[in-house]
Amino acid sequence: MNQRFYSTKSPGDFVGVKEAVLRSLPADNGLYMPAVLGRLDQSFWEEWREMSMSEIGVAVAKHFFGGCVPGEVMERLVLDAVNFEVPLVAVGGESFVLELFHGPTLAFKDFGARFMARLMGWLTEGDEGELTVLVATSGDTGGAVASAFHGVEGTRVVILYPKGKVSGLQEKQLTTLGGNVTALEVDGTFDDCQRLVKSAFLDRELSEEMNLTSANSINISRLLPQSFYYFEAAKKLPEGELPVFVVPSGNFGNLTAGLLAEQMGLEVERFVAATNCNDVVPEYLSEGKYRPRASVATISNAMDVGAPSNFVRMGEIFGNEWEAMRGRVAGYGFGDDETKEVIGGVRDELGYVLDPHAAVGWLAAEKWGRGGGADGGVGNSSSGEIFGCDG
Amino acid sequence: MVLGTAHPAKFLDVMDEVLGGGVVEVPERLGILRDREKAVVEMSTSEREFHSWLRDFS
Repeated sequence: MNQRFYSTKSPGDFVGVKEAVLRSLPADNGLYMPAVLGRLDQSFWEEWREMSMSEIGVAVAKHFFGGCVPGEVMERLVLDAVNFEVPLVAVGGESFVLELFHGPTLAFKDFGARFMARLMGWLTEGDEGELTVLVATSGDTGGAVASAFHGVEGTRVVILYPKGKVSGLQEKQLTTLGGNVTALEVDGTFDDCQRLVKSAFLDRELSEEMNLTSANSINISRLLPQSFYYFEAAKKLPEGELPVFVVPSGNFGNLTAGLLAEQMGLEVERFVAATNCNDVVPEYLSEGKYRPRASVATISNAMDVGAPSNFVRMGEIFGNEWEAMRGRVAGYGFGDDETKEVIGGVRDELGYVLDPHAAVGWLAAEKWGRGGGADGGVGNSSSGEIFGCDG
Repeated sequence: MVLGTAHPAKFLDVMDEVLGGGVVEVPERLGILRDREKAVVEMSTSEREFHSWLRDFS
C-alpha cells in the first residue's frame, strides 16, 4: 500500500508522497505525518541485528513510504544518502556516545538532508524544468543542505545568507561547492534572508515557473532517516538490553525520529530529552503545561529554540496525552555553566571530548542514571526538571 | 546512550574557551575549505531585485 500523509491540522485529508515532500509545510501550517505506521514485518526482526545500518535504512524507508517509491529506487536513494559510519563509542563504564557527525558537514543533519535531496531528485525526475531549492540560513543548515543537493541531478540550490554574519568556515561551506549550488550574500540580516525566501514562495507565478521548493527542517523526508540510527545503536547492545536514548534537543526532530522508530517496533527503555535553558519541553513534562516562548542564547546554540516545531508531532504520537508522553519521555534542562564544567570534566577524567550539545546530553544521562532510572523507577516525579537556569 | 549530534570542531570558540586552544582538531574535510575561493552573488534586501535575479537564473 502506498503511504499517505495528513496535516496535523486536518487529520481527515491526505496527500501523496510527492506533495508532502516537495511542499514541506501544508497550507494550513500543520505538519505532515504518515497516515499509517505499524510495526516492521517479522522478517525484519529476524535479521535486523545482522544488518548494516544502510540495510536497516532501506528496510525502514520501504516500510515507511510503502509503495510510493519502488523498492530498488529506495535502495539506491538510501545507500547513496547514508554512506558514512555511525560509531557507538564507549565513554567511561556504562555510557556510550552515538557519533552522528561523520557525514560531509559533520552533523546529524547530513542524514536527513542527503536523503531528502535524493528523494526530491527522484520525485521530480521527468518533470519539466529543474527543481529550485531555496534556503535561508544563519550558517549550519545551509551547509548541510548545500552539500546534500550538490551534484543531485535535476536540482539546483540557492542559498541566502547574511553578509558577514556567518562564521568563516561556515561561509566556505556555503560558497565553495559550485556546480548546482549558488550562494547569495545578502546585505542584511538572517531575517531579511528569510523574508526574501518567503516572498518568492508567496509569488505564485514565480514559484511555479521556477519549481521552487524549500528544504525546510520539518520536511517529513528529513525526519525519517534520523530513525535509522536508533535501530543501529540498539542492535549493538547485547540482546535483551534495552537502550535509554538521551537526545540533545532543540526543534525535537531527533527525538521525534526516535519515537517513529519505536512506533515501527523498536524496543526502547526510555527517551530522555536534554535541553539547555530553552526548556519548554522539560517544563511541559514536569507540569503538563506547554508554554512556547522566545528563545534565549546559549553555548549549545543549535538547541536555542523556544517553540520547537516537532512538538506537535510528538503530541500526535501520544494522542496529545501528557501522561502518555511522560511515560515514555523524560526531559531535563541545564545551564551553560554546568555544560562547560562537564565538557572539561569528561575530557579530564574519561578522555572524551563532548561538543556543547552532547555535553547537555551527558548531564541529562547522569541525571537519569541517578534518579530517573535505576533508583527511582519509571514514571516518577522526575519526568521533567530544570537545573541551572533562571526562572 | 547519548546522541552526539555534531563534531566539536563546529563550535571551536566554546571548545577552545573551555579546554584551551588546540585540543579540538579541525577535521581535514572542514580544514581544506579554508584555502578555497568563495563564489557568491551579491544581493540587496529588495524583493524585487531578488525575484528578478531568480527569473533570469538558469
